[in-house]
Amino acid sequence: MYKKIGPATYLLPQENGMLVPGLIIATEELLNEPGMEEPLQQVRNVACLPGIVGHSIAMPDIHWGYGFPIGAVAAMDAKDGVISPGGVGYDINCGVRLAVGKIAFSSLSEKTKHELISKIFNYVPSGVGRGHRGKTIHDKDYKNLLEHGAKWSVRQGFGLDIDLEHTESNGMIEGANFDAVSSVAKERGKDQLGTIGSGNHFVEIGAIEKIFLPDTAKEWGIFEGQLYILIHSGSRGFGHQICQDTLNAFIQKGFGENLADRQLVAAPIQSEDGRRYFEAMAAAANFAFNNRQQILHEVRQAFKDICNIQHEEIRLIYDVCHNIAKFEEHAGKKLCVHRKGATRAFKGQPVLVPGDMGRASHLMVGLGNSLTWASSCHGAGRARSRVASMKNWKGKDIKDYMKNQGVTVLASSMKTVAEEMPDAYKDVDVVVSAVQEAGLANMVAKLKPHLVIKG
Amino acid sequence: MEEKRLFIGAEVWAPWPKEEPRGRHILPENRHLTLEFLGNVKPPELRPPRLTTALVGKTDKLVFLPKKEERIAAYHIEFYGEDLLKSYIGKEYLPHVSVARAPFNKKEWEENFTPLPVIIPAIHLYMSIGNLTYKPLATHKLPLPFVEIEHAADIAFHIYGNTLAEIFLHAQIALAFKFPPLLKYVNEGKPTSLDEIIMALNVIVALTDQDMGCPFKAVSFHGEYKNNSWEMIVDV
Repeated sequence: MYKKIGPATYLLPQENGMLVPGLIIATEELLNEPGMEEPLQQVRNVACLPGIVGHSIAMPDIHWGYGFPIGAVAAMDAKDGVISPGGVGYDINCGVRLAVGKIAFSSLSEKTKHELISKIFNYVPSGVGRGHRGKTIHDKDYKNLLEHGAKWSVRQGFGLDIDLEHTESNGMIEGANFDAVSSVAKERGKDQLGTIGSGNHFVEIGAIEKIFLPDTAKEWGIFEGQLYILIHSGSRGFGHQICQDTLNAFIQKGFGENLADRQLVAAPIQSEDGRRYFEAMAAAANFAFNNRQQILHEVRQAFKDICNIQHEEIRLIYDVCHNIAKFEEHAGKKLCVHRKGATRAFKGQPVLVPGDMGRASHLMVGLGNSLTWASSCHGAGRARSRVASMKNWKGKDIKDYMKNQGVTVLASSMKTVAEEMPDAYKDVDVVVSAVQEAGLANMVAKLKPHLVIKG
Repeated sequence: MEEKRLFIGAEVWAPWPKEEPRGRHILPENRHLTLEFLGNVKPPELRPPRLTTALVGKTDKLVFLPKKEERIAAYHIEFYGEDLLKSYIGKEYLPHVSVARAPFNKKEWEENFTPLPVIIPAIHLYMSIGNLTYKPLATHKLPLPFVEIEHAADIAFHIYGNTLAEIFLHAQIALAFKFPPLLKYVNEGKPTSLDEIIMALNVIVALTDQDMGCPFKAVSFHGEYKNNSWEMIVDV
């Protein structure tokens, strides 16, 4: 079925209509996990898309998705290739942001930790339907934030100019068009800026537990025991609707016919439909950059209110997208790189890999590996369904269990917490080890969560 | 066989809230719709229903019974489509499920009422054994509108229906079981293809999200309608 071609790197042979081979980044252990056949078939399906270049790539955290698997990378020729909403995902520019403080996490008293998590829970709406009441975006502001990216939020007083230098693409995808977005999407997103959402989104505070690359850590101002803040959120209902609008339009136009899976539906990049989708996708991406920018601002404000730590003393390390399609140049060729549940990993760039709320997350440094178009994994991937996780934890004291793991959890819904328990996820250490072994990124630091806010 | 206190009833499934207003609650596993009270009789044979389609509905209002001396708090059930239980028992009846007995505060119940989706999974010959507990002596299972199945990253169901209209309705009910406020937008539309069903479901998701927030991102364009069944996968 697949052939090992390098450390943690396997080839899926090009056959049955595939235009390129598949490339799987994984250890033998991960490849032998149950349920791998379906996502690998999706890798083969993606390899059949017109204009695909190089390989149809699977990251070690791969699992079944809509059309494209989650944990997929596919680059299309920018002239002759296609752009696919399934290759980006519903939550356009779902991504992660890491910031650090000057102090050690252990310097916070128990009282301070409790006050801090409560304050953040109050300032940053989380959970289903939790938008900002009284913070509605109107059309004029909408146009600006969609077209200018996170710079708009900074200009409004949410964060620092320097934050933009530490955000992928400086917090803005060029080409966003307010007019390419439906009124339904605008309606859905108007109260949702600066909110986490639900499901596996979170704000997490903890300590840098271990340093693997001291020189890189020093360069980035990271030290063992340091306080960190990790934010995981995306474009909320705004982005979901843009994806849905595009899927509806493409399917109604018959673009899904003759595809192995109609969820791979795509349009030529250079077509009116392809351009329109990219403009709307970029708008959603910029909404998400603004979202994470405003969430960090509120977290900084909480630290100021409770610990008297100034905003500038909480420094953004990096903000990455993990559901996006971007125009990039690789080996002199202009490509549209789809990363769905995958992260850009340019040489020297911080790569953020959230695990689960109990065990760990990771900070890595990209190696710019051309085989994966300078891409890496995005997280741990689910090991167990929500239904199974709920059953497993039914009747048990979840908060108490997490407390014993050294983690305090505040959530709008304990049902969500039960679905998101650590054992519902693969071990992120195994995933990042595969990434390192394959030469995509190197581990810089391991992060241990202690205070977690979930939707 | 000795006489027992018997009645014919329909089991009722709903996403009952974890906390309900005060009262002597009938536990969820005992909640039913009484179709015919038989009294203290020897157990008769339970006539099989000729139902080829699932029975789904919603609780649309509270009723307090009996009218002269209100000692039972109950939810009235409104069925989508025809009430096929009426044909089964051959007479008019008040479709309601009792949820608590007195003492209770009527105003508290009224203030906390929110509609819930309901499924009727079976008809039983019940025996009343006291203390608000009922034991089935005979059972006829009914077709189910959906079954939740395992899915690693999202939520998934097998949706069952003899027609596309039934698939559409049952899919909505499945979503409402997960998030009851979505019931506000449930409708008995008649889509003519699976793609139309999926698009209509996503309109409901969008409306719900705009209105009050929704835990679902979207219903995916996955699967096909085959053998009266469709695998619905919902991104959360």
